[in-house]
Amino acid sequence: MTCVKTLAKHFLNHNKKGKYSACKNCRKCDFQIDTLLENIFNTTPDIITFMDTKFRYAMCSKEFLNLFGFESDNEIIGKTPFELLHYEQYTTVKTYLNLVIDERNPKTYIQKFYNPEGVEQIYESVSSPIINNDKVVGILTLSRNITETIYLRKSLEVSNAKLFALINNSPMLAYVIDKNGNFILGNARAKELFEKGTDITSTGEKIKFDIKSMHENILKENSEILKSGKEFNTERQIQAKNGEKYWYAINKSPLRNREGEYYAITTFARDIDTEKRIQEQRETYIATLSHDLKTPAIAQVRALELLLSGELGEFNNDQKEMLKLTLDSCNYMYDMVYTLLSTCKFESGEVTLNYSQFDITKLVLESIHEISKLAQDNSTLIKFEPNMQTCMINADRIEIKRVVINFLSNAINYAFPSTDINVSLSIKENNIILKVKNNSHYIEPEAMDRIFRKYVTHSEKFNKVGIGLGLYLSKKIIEAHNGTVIAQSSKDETNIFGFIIPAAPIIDLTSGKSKQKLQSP
Amino acid sequence: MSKDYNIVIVEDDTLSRFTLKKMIHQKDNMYISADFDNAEDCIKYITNNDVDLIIMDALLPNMNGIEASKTIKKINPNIKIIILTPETSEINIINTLFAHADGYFIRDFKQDNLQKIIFYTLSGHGGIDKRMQFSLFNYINKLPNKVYSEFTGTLTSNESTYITLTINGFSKSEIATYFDMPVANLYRFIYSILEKLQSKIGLENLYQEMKYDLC
Repeated sequence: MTCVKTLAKHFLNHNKKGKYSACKNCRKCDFQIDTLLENIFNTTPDIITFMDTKFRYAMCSKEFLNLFGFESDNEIIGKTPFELLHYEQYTTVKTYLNLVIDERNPKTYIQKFYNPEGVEQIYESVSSPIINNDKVVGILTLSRNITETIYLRKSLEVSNAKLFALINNSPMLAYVIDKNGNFILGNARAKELFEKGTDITSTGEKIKFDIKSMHENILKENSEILKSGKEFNTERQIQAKNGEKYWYAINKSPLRNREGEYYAITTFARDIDTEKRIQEQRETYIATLSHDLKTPAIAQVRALELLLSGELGEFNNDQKEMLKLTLDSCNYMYDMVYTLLSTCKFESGEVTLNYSQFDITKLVLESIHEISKLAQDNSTLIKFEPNMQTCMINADRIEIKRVVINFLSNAINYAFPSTDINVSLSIKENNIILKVKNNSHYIEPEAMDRIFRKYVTHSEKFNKVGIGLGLYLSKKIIEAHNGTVIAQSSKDETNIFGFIIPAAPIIDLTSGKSKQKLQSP
Repeated sequence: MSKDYNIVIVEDDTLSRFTLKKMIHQKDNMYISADFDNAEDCIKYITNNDVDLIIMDALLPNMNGIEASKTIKKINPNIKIIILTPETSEINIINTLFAHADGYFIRDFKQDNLQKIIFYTLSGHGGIDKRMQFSLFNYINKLPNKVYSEFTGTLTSNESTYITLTINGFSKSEIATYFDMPVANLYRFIYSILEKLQSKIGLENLYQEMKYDLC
């Protein structure tokens, strides 16, 4: 302040003389600008100017000089804004400066300049009156470049507008609600749901939900999310007032404020009812089809077995051979149907394992024997050296056998011609480990993932849906036994498929229950 | 006086019915007195004729085998009924088990077992296919907590032990040895468990609801 007062005095003195020019006396008088102030004027990115009551510039910061391309303040001193600014700018500034003098109060306004590169700059200016002895002696103006801020704000507005347009026109519910369940903002569809409890499905069907219970459920779930701070995704059925249930895919994200507290939740909800119904229909269709095929398949097998037993009379050798092949074919078909049906059951979460205690070494030997013809046809030799003579385990014998045969037949089908297959069986820490190793092409990790998917065959060479489905089902079966599947491929062109399962899990009524207990809805 | 057992078959798949007939005709002490492809005709028949055993398919056109079984038992509780189902899906097995029949088997039993099945049922021992027992125990396991405790509370400790041993893979003979009783008598446990379950009527509906909430 002291310095400015001195400044003012200095200029008053000059004004008295009627002239305003670089006065030689300035160099001589003991008027000294404070070093700190000089530093500020030289380094500040803001524009600071001091002018007298006739709007003549007396002092300015370096930035001001840069803006107009001046070298030193000698070029500025004595000039007025009129000489520096465009006419419109000048009139704006003049108005405000007059106000500052008249009202003796600081005024804020916007100025626009073109910098030396020709790019428009926007400045926010504050002009304050300098008062000495109750007289306004000059005006101090601080201007800050807010070009970038303005630009950012504008582009933010544009992106906001685009975002709103996107959300408002999207075919889903989108809204933000605070921790007390109050609707903060959202699209039109979300508003409808919140205020009236109604929604429209993608097929145009109107649904009405009970608002009260809906709010209660939402609040309950949201409070959990706000506590954990974690994103939440789910698909669920919601019951409407008419008793029907509709599927929605729901995504919720908690929002954090500056203090780090979770204060609101954004929710996106998409109606997936149609998708689910189609999926359900497809599954039901497959299940019904396989189911309908089962009866005739079993009947055929029974009838042929009865015929071949000789109880209804003997056949000649050709007739017997024909019947036997037909029986094999029917058994194969029945097996396919059974696999398909089992897969559907596993898919829908229905897993009933029938545990029994059996010797797994014996089971592996049986399986190798059953597959021997396939091995012969492919000139493959199966080698099996079990670690133990017998090994009793507790598992579902039929399903485990299915898995073993699946691994063996895959090993045979994909092996290089005339190569061996090695089967190993061991027990480690009460777990059974089975490995089937063959010589075949290296399988890339991404391909390995795909192999275990539901309707995929690894290679077009064996265009049998059954093979792909078999691996998927095998994985499900092993997982149902709380085991894991082994699938290792080496660049030396050997592949190992197998499983690890607990040898003798003990299930009792209570522990079995805690394993399978459903989550409460 | 050893008499030949009078058996009736109700099965709508022609090949299955024919094969079953032939399989039974081969056996010494039993014969088929009639066979039908629907339940209604069978019910009409038994009101006028004596029958020892009915082998009934669970799935039939119009009235299904489960309903028919209940109806027949009301008309003549002395007739033994074996229900055959091709089903291996849990819900259908549970539904089938509520049929108040004497024997429950899945259709793909081995031929050699047919005689055993019929014999056991006729002598009052009945039987429930082991796979169906597993489905039943699985179903019990999935009951909502409250119902589960209520139900298991009604079981005797022997019945609970029977369930535990079965789901842990012990064979019938091993379980029979444990309880120091003949294998044939094991059916008492499973029937008693089944009866107690059946007496809790609402359970069937509960299961239906649960199935949808599974996701």
